[in-house]
Amino acid sequence: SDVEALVEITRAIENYQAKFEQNIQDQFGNSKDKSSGHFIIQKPFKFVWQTESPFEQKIVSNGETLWTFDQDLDQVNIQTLNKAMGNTPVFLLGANAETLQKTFNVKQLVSGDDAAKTFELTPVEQGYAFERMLVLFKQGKLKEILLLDTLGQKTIVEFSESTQNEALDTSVFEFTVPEGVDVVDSRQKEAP
Amino acid sequence: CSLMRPTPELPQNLTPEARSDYLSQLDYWQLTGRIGIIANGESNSANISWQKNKQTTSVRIYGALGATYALVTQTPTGATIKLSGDEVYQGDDAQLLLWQTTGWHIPINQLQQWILGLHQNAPQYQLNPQGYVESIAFDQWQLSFNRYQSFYGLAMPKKLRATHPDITIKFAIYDWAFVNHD
Repeated sequence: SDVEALVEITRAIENYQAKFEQNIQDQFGNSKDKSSGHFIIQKPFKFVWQTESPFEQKIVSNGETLWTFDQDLDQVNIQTLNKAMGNTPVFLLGANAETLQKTFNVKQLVSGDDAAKTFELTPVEQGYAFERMLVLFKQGKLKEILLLDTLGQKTIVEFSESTQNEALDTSVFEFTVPEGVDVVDSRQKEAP
Repeated sequence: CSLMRPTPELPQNLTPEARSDYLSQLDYWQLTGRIGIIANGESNSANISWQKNKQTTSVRIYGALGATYALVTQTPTGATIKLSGDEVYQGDDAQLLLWQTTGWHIPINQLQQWILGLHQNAPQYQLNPQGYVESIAFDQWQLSFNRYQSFYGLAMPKKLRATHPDITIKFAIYDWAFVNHD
């Protein structure tokens, strides 16, 4: 099935790192927001999503705890990582066939270039921020994610200079809270 | 049309007074940046774009992948808010509407006048050594302009913090625009 075809690709990815460029376009194609940075994931759910421009924000997960550090706002939010979390690229790479199938209808689209594989994911339930997601892999590497929302707004995330399954220093997935920032630790509130 | 956004010819090296006069008569301005909200033990951060276009003010708060959390618009005749689930609500006052529908208590009406780094009809204010507004106190709020930066030759607020007994709001502004391109 198409889900298995997708999972066959993601299962082969143990870890992955790349630069990302995100571009948000309104329904008329005007660029509304551009941001860039880098992304590292060590399966299943250790990752770093660092936005470098135009603002600085670092999201780090060690698989248990999720730190969101807004450098510009001098603010750190600490949460328990809930496995069905909202970071789409991480969820996509980390989820197994069963979880994917519960969340999305997956369809593999015909592609002329056999090195490229494109999948269309549509949320099973309502209430998702996007209506349709397209994911492009090239030679088994994540290349692009495109999100379309109900208002016709497009969010395009392009990955470049990616490396996969290479030795990785896992200390990058630990975060120490710097001095002098506002910290909100919302872990204790969550029921054990 | 021009590919590059033309850098608008804005007055340069203004004295603080000339700067205030210039900014307060602007028909159009837009800020883009990050907003951090800390209230009842929870912290949120999002992107914000705030635009004044003649009589219409629109404030859009949106998430990392572009999902709009709230788009609230105030015109002389009333206010509307659009939320992420495509729900739309009408009201008289944008600030009240935003608070009622999202729980975010953001003093839009007061900030609208001062966020450019202005202080006209502010009940209490202090200036920094350069002569720009450093802080404004109003109702139970304390608004502090922590950093200014030059945008197109104009000294504009880059970091602001608005504190109130039940909420702290922080702005990190990374772009100011003074020319209407739409």
